[in-house]
Amino acid sequence: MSLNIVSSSFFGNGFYTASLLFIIFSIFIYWIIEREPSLRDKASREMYVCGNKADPDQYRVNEHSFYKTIINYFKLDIIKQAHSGKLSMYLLWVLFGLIIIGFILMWF
Amino acid sequence: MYNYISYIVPMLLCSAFIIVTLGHKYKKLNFNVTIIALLSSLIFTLLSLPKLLNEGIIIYQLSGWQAPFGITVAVDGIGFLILSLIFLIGLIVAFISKHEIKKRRYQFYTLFMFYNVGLVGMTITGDIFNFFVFLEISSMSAYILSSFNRDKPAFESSIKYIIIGSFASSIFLIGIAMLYGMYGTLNMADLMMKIVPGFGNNIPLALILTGLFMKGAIVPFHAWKPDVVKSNPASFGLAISATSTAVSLYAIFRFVYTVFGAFYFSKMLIYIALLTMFVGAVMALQQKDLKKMIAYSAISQSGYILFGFGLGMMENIGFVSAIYHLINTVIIDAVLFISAYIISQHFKTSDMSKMGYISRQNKLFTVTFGVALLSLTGIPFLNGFASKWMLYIVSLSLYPFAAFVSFIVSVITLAYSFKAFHLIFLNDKRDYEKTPLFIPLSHKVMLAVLLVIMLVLGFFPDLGLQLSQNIIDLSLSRDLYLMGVLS
Repeated sequence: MSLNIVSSSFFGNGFYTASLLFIIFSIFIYWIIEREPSLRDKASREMYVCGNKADPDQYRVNEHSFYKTIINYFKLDIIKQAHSGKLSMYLLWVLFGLIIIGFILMWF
Repeated sequence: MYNYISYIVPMLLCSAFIIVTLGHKYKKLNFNVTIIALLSSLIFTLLSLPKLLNEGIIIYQLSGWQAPFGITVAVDGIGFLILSLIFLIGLIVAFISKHEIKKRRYQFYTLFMFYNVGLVGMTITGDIFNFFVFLEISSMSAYILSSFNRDKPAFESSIKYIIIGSFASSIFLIGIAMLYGMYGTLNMADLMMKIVPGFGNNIPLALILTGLFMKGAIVPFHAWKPDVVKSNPASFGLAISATSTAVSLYAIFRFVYTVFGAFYFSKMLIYIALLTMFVGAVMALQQKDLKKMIAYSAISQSGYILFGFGLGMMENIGFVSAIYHLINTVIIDAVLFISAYIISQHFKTSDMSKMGYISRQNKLFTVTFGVALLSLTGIPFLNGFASKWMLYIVSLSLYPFAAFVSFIVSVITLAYSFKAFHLIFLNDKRDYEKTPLFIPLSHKVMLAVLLVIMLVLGFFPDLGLQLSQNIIDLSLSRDLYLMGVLS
């Protein structure tokens, strides 16, 4: 089996498309740089829920907890717990890895 | 043709000697000597390109002692690429550290030179014991550099690094001793000739690889890296994340493919690569510290490169995509670490929850950082896309499950990239920072050049693919290596 991906152009005949996109991207960057910054003051940051003023910190999704549901659902925090920062734990990882590598090598 | 490669190591050693003897008296000398040494090394490497293209591999027998008795210098296509990357990243590290390191500069640059000597030696040597000596030179320098800040976190990370690293070195040395006991030689080409395929080779290979995995921070041997990156200057973090990993991955290729010809090993490399990319990405997603997030991200990306090497054992295009991804990762890491330095200097912390609103202060910097994060994810028309796409295509034909996992990891990468970008650049919870964002001119130039490279490689991926293909064409011939060294 041979996969011939490199010999032909990666975007097919898309050189002109790529050039056009490049120009559009450059204009976009120029637009971002040049436009006036619109700073949000304290009043514009206020939140209203059902017509009542709400505390933003209460309703805002925290960046750190944004993915918490997914992490908790798939139990991915176990991986973080294993990175406790304790040297003994890390050495255990090393030993575990060495055994795994040896085992796989013998298996194959 | 003249052999320039063999002059690089003595030149770097001489520069380290000059810095350590005169650097504390003549302060400007530290930076200037470092730049001159690294630039000259880069030029010497580039000057040896015609020889490489002509002969397919650069071979030099030190002091005229023929292999397997003498020490051989052997540089193939990937070796040439790695040398170029070491010096280019070295130059970037020197420029960042010029602003970042305020005290004991001569110590930093001396150790950094020794660190580069070790990495260069590991790349060019054709002798396993020599490889171990250079590994130790780079490791010793890295251990000392990792406590450079002289505060509690730096000492703690350094102690962890020393203990785990020494353990790895010991294991590596045992592997070498076993090989020497079995075949009576330490020359890589001679070993290639004498190695009898069989079960007995697996144990020394496993021990050698464990040492290399540790040096390259491959899961489950990665634990030292995030701590070291977090508690040290960003310039050293870049050196550890980009060049050290690149050299270790090259060494894995050299041992598994060239020396042992262990093609059956591909499955194991793929499993470890999947574990590395997944654990790295999941840990990056859960970080609050910018430097730690970048360190875990680098671990995850090195998983992709290893994945390409594993696939390359079965289909050469895997090597091409791995090399292309290596180039892309090094470029992205450089942007992220330069940015990490600028951001952490501005906020006086690397805790992302205490950052925000930089997008209002410098638009071009915001765009550059955003492009780097999107490239990391593999968004089309940015440089990370083509290499990841090729990895998906190759693995879909060989291991569909692995392709699925690597795609999921890309989604996680996108998640932590968005999180970091929002916290640092868009977060408006915090009051607007009045202090203007200071970016030194050298950093602006470096970021602009890297941004252009990312965009050019993104829109014209054929440039990178062709380069990677040429590099691989110059590296895959085991017979050429064998004949070149032993004839």
